[in-house]
Amino acid sequence: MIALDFSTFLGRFHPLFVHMPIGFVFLAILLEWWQSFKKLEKISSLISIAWFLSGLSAIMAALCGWYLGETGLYEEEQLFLHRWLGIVLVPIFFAGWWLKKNYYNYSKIIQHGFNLLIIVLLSIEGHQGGNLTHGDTYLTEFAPEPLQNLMGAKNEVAQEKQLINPDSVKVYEDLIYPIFENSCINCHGDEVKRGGLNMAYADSLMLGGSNNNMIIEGNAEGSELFRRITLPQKSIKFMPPTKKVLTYDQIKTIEWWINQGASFEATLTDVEISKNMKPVLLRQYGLNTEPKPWYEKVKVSPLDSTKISAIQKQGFKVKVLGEKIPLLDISYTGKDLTLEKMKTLEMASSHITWLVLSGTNVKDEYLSGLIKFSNLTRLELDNTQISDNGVFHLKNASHLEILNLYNTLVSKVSLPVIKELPGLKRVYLSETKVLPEDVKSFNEDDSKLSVIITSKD
Amino acid sequence: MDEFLKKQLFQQTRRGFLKKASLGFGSIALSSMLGPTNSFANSLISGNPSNNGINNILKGTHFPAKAKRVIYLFQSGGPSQLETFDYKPALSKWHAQEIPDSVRGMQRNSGMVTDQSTFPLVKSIYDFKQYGQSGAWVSELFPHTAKVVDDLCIIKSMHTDAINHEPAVMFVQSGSQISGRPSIGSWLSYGLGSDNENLPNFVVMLSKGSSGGAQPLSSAAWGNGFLPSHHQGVQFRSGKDPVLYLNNPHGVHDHDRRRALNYIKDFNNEQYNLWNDPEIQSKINQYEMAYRMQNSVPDAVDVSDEPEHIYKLYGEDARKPGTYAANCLQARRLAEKDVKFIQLYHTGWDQHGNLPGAIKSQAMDTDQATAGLITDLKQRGLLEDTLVIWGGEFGRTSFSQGRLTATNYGRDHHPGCFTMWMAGAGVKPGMVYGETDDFSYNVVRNGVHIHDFQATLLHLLGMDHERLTFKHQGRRYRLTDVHGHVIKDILA
Repeated sequence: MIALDFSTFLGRFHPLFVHMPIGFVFLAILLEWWQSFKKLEKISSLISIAWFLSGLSAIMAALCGWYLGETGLYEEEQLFLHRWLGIVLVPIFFAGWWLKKNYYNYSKIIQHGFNLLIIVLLSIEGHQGGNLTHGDTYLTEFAPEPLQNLMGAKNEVAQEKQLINPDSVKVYEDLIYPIFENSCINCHGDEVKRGGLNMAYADSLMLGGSNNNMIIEGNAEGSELFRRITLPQKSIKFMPPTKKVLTYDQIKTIEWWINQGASFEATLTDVEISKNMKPVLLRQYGLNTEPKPWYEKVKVSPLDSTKISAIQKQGFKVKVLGEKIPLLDISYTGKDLTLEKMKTLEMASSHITWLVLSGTNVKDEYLSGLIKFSNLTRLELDNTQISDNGVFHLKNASHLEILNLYNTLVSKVSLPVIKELPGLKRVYLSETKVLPEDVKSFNEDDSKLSVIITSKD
Repeated sequence: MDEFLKKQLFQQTRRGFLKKASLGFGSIALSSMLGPTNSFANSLISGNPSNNGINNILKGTHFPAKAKRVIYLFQSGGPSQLETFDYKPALSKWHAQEIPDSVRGMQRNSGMVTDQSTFPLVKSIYDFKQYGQSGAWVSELFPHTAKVVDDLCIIKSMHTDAINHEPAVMFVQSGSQISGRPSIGSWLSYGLGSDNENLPNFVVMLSKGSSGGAQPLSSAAWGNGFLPSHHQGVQFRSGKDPVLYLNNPHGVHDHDRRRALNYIKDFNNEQYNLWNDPEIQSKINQYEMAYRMQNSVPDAVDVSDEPEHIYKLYGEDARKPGTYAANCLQARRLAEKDVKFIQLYHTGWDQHGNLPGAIKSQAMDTDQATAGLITDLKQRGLLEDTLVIWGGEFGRTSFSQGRLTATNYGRDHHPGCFTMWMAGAGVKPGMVYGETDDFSYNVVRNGVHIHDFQATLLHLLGMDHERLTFKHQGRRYRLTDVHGHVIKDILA
């Protein structure tokens, strides 16, 4: 242990030594260049001395580096190249010493080629080392955006591997077992089995202890487990008998699990989540079981800012939805919209998710390009001259959720198209040629879609 | 003074030079080589020094903005929760009995009741019923609001720190009881910028309650505080001149006005280059905004194109300029024109005595127009991204202030609990959130502090309340100060 501590202590000197060979070697190369630039006859002996020093310090750096790598704080894959290239560099430095010492035995091409090789190798080695210490994105994180794209940098934030996606959450394993583990298994586990009950495994739990009705699937009230945790706290049979009792949310979760059939395999999507369980899951596990809006599900990389400014130049207002959501919210005001302007939007066809053309002079044929807008979720065409021909262009908008056609020329001819839109949640049809009785059947047979329409009187 | 000037100039040039030489030129050159514009799009706060505040300080919202604009129907004076939305049947049993000490606890009362020897509880003189799918309880004073209750998210567990009007209004509006901080609308203008350059970002409209004797409102409630002054609320008045001093004086031609403004702008820019005082830019912005408003405002406030059925919806009062109903209609028109924050104040909710009569006339003023506004916004699809807020600065006590008779009583200020509602963009419709005890005296479940409300409001507009800051006198200020939690449960 002490040996390891000491080697770690030595290892921490790696960042100190590592810069010395770099410095020496660059000094040597610069000196050499300066000499050839000045066309000096004799090569200075200082150059070979610098190469020798760089070799020596490289040994130190490699040694400390080896110990530092042994601490296990670095990813093996990333470390491999850095470690071995670093070791290979040591003999190369000494080779440089030999080369420069016997300068006139070798041609200029070899001398300069060797220098170049060293610079390339050192850059790779240094960059690798930097990535190990500071992370992959250290260099590119604050680079101007076009430069980032040039370098192919990805600054997307890694998804937290928490309970986020309801279909990957197992009800028993992720929600119920942690409660048992925290509050029950100390006394009802492998080592201690109070009352003959072992809650560490599914089968032993179902077996129960002295009471057989431990868990009755689908019936929490009848289950001994639920009864015990909901007794008055003063009762001698109340569980857990410590000061750390289960919270309201935990009890509700257990009750819900039993009532849903006490399955040990079910994922969150398999079971029914009642309205009052949703806030419980949200509070206790940070699990949002409300259906996610499309813009949070879809993954696109940010649109190049040059394209954004090209769209802005056409008079559109462009907003990025959020820091982590590169989708776009685009709007236009004024009566000078043209087909050409609308065409520029096609550059961002998979990025535009909200499009607001309210009160503009938008014409039916301007909407023909919308067919490519794969992530369009909200379209506002209110107070325009859009008619049924315009609505027809929307028939492939599979993710459209909100469609505002208030005060347009749309008639009931459009209704079949609107009805076919799979994701549509709300459509606004007041002040159109559509009459409330036209959509009466609509609201009845499709509960997912609500039509907002008011009659004038 | 000369010394000071020299020093200022010297420092400015030296520091400016070093900054520009080390970073400025290099990165500007690089970015202009790589892409012509917007090279810093990845940083959220725009680093552009020429950003004088017409543009938003945030490059974009932190997360998707469910609400793009807000209509805040401020019921000034502190409407009683007990006669509006917080139904307390238990008070019938306790009517005229002394409030138990266990309920009253340590909660603060105002100085106006310290002389009172008895604190009899008093039930609402008005009946309640449940309405809509949500089954929310609404008092008979609000028959129209009751019809739109499924669009509302009623928060019964609001509480505040302040006990008197001025500090309480300031607290709701600016996050501080002491005036001098920016109002919510100013923060939004500062953070998000404008969606319509021809109208102010933040418009204020006032109306007087017909119960009379209203508490005065100070314009600090819509002040910009330490933010650049063009972020302050612009008050629209009723009548011929909605914005004062906007028209050209008699005999001054529009053309001349434009030329004069151009020269003034040049002079101002000269001064700005010399002094770098952001207030000079504010001044330029304000002149330009005023010029644009010469056309846009008369157009915006001209309601002659509103059809008959709209007046049916908002009520006949909407025809009389200066009423709450007319302001509600105006608010909708401004929302359509993408004004970011529309703040209405309706005064007169301060019923220390004669509550039954006074609150009834207040309700008559506001009920139909409020519900009409919700209905109107909804049918236009505007409720998708417009947030409507209704509420006052605090609640009222469940015991009577003054003498309790069969037909008359009063209620004092009560910061411990009160009711507000929100509707529209991003808020769960048809929800009742939070609970008070059987006396509506203490919050017992899901309390919402003013800072929580403000944090939630900013969240709905797409901003993290902890990251919208302004540095002033050496420290960064927020609307929510150092407090505030987003009420996730009410978000749709």
